[in-house]
Amino acid sequence: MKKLFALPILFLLTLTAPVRALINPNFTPVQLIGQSTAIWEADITLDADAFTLTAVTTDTLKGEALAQTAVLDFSDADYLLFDLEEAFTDNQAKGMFITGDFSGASMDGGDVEEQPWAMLKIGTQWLMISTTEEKPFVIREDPIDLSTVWAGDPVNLRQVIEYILTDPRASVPVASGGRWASEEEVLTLDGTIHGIEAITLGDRTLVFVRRDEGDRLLDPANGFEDVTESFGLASASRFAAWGRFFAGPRSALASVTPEGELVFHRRGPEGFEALSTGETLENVTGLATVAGPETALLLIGTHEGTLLGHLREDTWHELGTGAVSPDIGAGGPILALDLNGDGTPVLIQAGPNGVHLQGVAWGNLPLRFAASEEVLHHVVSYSPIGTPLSITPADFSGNGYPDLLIGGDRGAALILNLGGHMFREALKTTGELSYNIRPGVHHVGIGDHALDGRLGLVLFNRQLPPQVYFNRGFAVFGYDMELDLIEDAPDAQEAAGRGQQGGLLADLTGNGLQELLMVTQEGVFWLLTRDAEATAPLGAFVTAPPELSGPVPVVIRDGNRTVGARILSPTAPAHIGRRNRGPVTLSWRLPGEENDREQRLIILRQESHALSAD
Amino acid sequence: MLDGLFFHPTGVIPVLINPIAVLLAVLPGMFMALISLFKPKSIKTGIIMLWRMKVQVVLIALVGYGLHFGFRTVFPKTTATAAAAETAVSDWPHFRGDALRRGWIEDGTSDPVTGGVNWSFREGNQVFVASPTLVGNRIYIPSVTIGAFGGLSGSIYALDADTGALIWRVTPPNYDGSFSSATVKGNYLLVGEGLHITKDARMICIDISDESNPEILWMFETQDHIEGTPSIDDGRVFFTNGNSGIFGLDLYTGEKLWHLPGEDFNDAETAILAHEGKVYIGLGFGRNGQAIVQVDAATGEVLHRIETPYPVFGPPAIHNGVVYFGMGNGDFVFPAEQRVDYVLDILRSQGLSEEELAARRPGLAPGGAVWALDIETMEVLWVYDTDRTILSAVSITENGLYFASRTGGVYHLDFDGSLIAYWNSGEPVVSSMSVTSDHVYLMTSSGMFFVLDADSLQPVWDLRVSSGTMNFSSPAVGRGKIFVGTEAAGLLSIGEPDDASRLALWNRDGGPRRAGRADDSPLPAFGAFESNFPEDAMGDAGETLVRHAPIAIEGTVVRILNLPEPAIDVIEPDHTWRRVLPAPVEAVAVRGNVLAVHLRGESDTLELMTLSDGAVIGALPLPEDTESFLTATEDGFLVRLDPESLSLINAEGEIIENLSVPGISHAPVLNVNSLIVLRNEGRQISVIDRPTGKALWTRTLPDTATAPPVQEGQRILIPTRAGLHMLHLATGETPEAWQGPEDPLSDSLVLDRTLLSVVTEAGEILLLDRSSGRELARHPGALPGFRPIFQRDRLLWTGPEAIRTLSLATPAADPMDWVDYSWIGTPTTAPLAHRSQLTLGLTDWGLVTFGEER
Repeated sequence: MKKLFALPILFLLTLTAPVRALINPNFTPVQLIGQSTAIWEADITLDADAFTLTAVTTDTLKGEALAQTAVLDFSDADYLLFDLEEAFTDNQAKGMFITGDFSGASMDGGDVEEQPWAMLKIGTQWLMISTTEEKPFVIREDPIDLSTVWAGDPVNLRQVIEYILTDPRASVPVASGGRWASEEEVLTLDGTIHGIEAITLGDRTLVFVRRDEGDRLLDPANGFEDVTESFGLASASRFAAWGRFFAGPRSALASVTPEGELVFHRRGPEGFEALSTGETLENVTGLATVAGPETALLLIGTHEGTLLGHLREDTWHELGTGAVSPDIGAGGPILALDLNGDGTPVLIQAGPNGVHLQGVAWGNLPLRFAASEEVLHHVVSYSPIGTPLSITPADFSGNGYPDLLIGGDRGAALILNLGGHMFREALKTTGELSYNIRPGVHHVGIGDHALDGRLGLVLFNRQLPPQVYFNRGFAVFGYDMELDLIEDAPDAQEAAGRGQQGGLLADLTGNGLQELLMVTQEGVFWLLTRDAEATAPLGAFVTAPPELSGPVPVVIRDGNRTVGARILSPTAPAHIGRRNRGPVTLSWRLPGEENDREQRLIILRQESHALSAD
Repeated sequence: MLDGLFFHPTGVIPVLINPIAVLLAVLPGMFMALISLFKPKSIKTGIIMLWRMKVQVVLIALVGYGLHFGFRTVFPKTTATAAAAETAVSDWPHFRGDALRRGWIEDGTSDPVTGGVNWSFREGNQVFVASPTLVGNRIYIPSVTIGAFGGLSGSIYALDADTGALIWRVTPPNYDGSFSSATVKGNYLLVGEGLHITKDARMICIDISDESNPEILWMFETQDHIEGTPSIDDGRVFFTNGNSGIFGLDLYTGEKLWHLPGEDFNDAETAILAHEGKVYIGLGFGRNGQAIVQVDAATGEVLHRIETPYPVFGPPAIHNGVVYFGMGNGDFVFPAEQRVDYVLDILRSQGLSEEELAARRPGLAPGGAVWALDIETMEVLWVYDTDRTILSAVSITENGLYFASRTGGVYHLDFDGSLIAYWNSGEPVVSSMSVTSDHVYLMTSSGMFFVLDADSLQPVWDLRVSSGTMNFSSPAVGRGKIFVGTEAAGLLSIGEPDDASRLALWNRDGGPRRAGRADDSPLPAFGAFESNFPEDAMGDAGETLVRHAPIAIEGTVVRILNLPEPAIDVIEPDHTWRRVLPAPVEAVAVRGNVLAVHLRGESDTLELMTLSDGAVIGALPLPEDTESFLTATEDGFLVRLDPESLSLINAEGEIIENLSVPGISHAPVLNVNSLIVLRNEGRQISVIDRPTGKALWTRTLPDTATAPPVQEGQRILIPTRAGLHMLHLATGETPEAWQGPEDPLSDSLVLDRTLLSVVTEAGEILLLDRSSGRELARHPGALPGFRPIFQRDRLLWTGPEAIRTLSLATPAADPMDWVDYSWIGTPTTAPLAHRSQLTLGLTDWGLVTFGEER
């Protein structure tokens, strides 16, 4: 009977639940852990019939666990079952207990005989455990709203607890501190735009626009002047990838035209020169640059899987194909990146139901698909997201390994990279991102826009306004209310309200701050610049050495602490944002090498540094 | 305070006592020495004379002892004491003291415009978001402790305004702490309870007539919070009660006289004002909010209700028949932009349709205003619009109106609403200001305190007093001091009037009492690199660019360079100057506007120059290759011009006084009538009578002194190679209770109110009890010869790779790095704390300044 009423009661509760949880500006996990008297982790077993949870302590992080074993009763609040069940797999889950001084915390009904005992984090929920005369442990809804303090799960809660307990300088932000200084329409382009990206050619930062009617190169330093012709670029790309596909230090463009033709555009002293491969491809879902020891390779994605090839003496050579795993559905967007720092890229393809990760091995040829028993062959599943639209790598958790954010037309997924080719789907535990992300994310702008070493993001959507999030650490995000366009860029917000054709987050002006550039459905480009008084620019842009042919992760360390990984490629410098001046150490590995390289930077102002391969 | 020349600031021991005490000790010896010059017959005559005058002699001895003991009892060395309550100039019956909302008691004292922290008070982690109430020599203030686990607690305090001593503490049962400030009328203290989340707050009335037994007379329970300060008038108390409306109670019994319900008077938060039979309130968010209300004080009848375009949170102020209200979008915690959805949710829950909400949205944009209304008709006389909300009270003096906005803008208007002056602090100001006839006092929400000229609104003084974002307390000014609550530093008394006659003195790194602190501004929790001087110095050759810590005194900063060439670089408040020196600097001292520099090149020279522009006003040759013991004193610069004597010289280099002290080995301590010197290579210490030059006593130390002596009151402290020795000034004896350490010590002794710290020659930092010398903590990793720094709650010291710090609450716990400079260089000077930053010399980078780690 209780279960019969649980669902409608819960439905009614859901209607009244906040659309998004505000972050408590006065409390972060630092205060919570600092004021706690004990923190312990437990294995929790759910008994749905008895409406109990049995908690067995497995580890104590602070103080002493109040109980080694506790049977928690929620029969008086059985409507909680619906949410609780989500956190369990085979009736098992991890939980984290925190206790402290509850004096003054109000209980429902003001029953003085019921005393708070501890707070419990299980799944994405916070619960209060109290003791009564009748029952030793009773579960209640959280009356002190700890979800505004930390909205992740016990896994990332443990990470932040350990961080706080071991680092006296630990901080968890409640805001990015940023502001938009201006919004401006910078140009209009007609036609069908498939995306925009910031690229560096030589020492110039340009915006590359992929467009059926002809790609464009725009110069932000000169009012977004169209410099396509001056570069001699005559491409039209539905899909594109930049890399050093040819021998020599200059980057080139790999392009699949709207007709499916694969064309390379080599950059020479006089400009770009097109080189057609003669290949016509069908059902292409993406292009990705693969960093190779000498030149870059090109990964081509199709609905059926992936195709790997490279140029040798200006001739296209296919190296092999990899069929998409049926577990993920039809193949979608692709990516190639060294995910665990061993110098070998992983070929990644997103599908409606998961990502397919294929390993490769360096062989006689620079790269080949290896037999599955030799290397990784991995599928990470997620809840169906519909047709996948985008796959974006970034180290959101700050552990030094790039994670993956996948947008689809019916959902989204976030794959956390745990290192050692271990992954976990974790969108639900990302705080306000999980509450607010909408279907239709087809481009993602990544950047340390708070300049605190954590990567934030901007979600560009086909049908909705863009959303800005700041990273609180460990891949838990807060909605960036200060950089919400509606506050300081209302015109851009309104113009982009029906969706964008593309967008990016990058330092286009060279002032050390991340600007936002987006193109509306009508082809209008809007530039939002940052207020340098609100966020003082400090950091470094790290440019690739000439030996680097494609994207590699660069891990940043501050003393003994890993700040995170950034993706460095020949056409996109890695940005290191800082709040404080001082040294950082960068470590990275060239493709095929066995050892990491290290370089120390002392960051005293906003400036550019070149990574040296020596 | 300087080496051995001033007494400890919390124990005022008149100079007078010293000669008497010394005289009593030396009198017999002097007498015997005197009569020994004569024949034995004279000796016998002398003794007979003494015997005949035995009563007088005994009386003199007793009086002397009694004076010494009595003064010590009345003026103890280290403990804050409370004086009896004074008859107050005025009560404090409303928020900010009166209807003018000045926060200033006109008691005839001069405005505080300089100085530092006089005292601080804090128990545990409590926060003072309420504002201090100043009545006579008492400060009344409630606290709040906000628990991460949902708990609120606090107490209500009475403190001695002059010393910060606790008079009493009242903790009502289940008390949630207070944002409301206290108001006082006669023996009645009223304070509201709770923060915004409190749903059962009480108005609390305390009888303060008996300070030894303050008694809660009554508590009136409500159904919401009471964040607005109550107002007392004509035997009644009035207060706002959030969404539970507005109350009028009987002051003496707490009986409810009237109540205006919350449904009709939404979000009543202002510090209400009762004035001449009427009560004035502003209303905040809500369908029945955003209004100014005038109510009959006796009956609660609403006389006027005026709708406003903004929620009204600013406390009303009244002057000359006009009431002034500040208002705007946004509140203490959130700016307007972050309150939009919250406000719309409230209105939606109150039944507004989506169309109505859409129509309201534009009105929730950032903005604010001050309204002036006639109190008879409540007609709006004028409106002054601002860019952000006005949460402060409008404070009123004869010069006009003063208020602050959430942008940090400070406004000075004429009574007709025209702008006279404007200044912006650069940070949000959400609390009210104090205004006197000449100055404006305000604190930003981040804890930066400013004093402005009341006419021009230009800053005359500033001091960082706290950190965080919840510094909501409004200052109170009186007794020549400023009193303010803070988020991170407790309740503070800061500032003092400018004493033009006081001479600024600076020696070495400030001396053991200043302990590396140029001011009392708190250092941040952790440091990070800010800048270095010279800016382009970033080598790695291990060069010592600076050998002297910077000097910061009276707004002037002096930096002394060693490489690439000796130079002095001075930053004055309104200009800078630089002068290349003919030789490296050996020692430096400042006295008033004169900078004295001991130069050591081919010969040694003392140069005297004006601090304002570096003009040389005097020069003297010094003995070669010997320490000059250059010391700035009240009387002049003390310097050794020849090996056998010390000379006191004036600013022009003219000798005022010569003191014969052969064999002196360390800088002396100069008192009005005595001199404390170390001699014989630091193996002997003597106290010398200054007028006669005679040694009053001499003691041999167990081992060589490693630093100059330090006088604190009646004690002399000497770091030696055999530990820290303490001798009584009068007798030269060491009390049995002294338990000082016995390690070889470096020249690094610092004194705090109740503590000492010193670095051993082996590189250990010692924390000692000041009165007994007992060791409280010992940690490795300190550089000998680099003086540690005491802050209010911690100790910092110089390590080879980092500034290290420990909490004074748990001194035995492992220290932490305050800032790591291993990537820069190694220390070449002791650090100096100034304006919440720490500066020290590091190899190759010069003077490196560390500020707040963000």
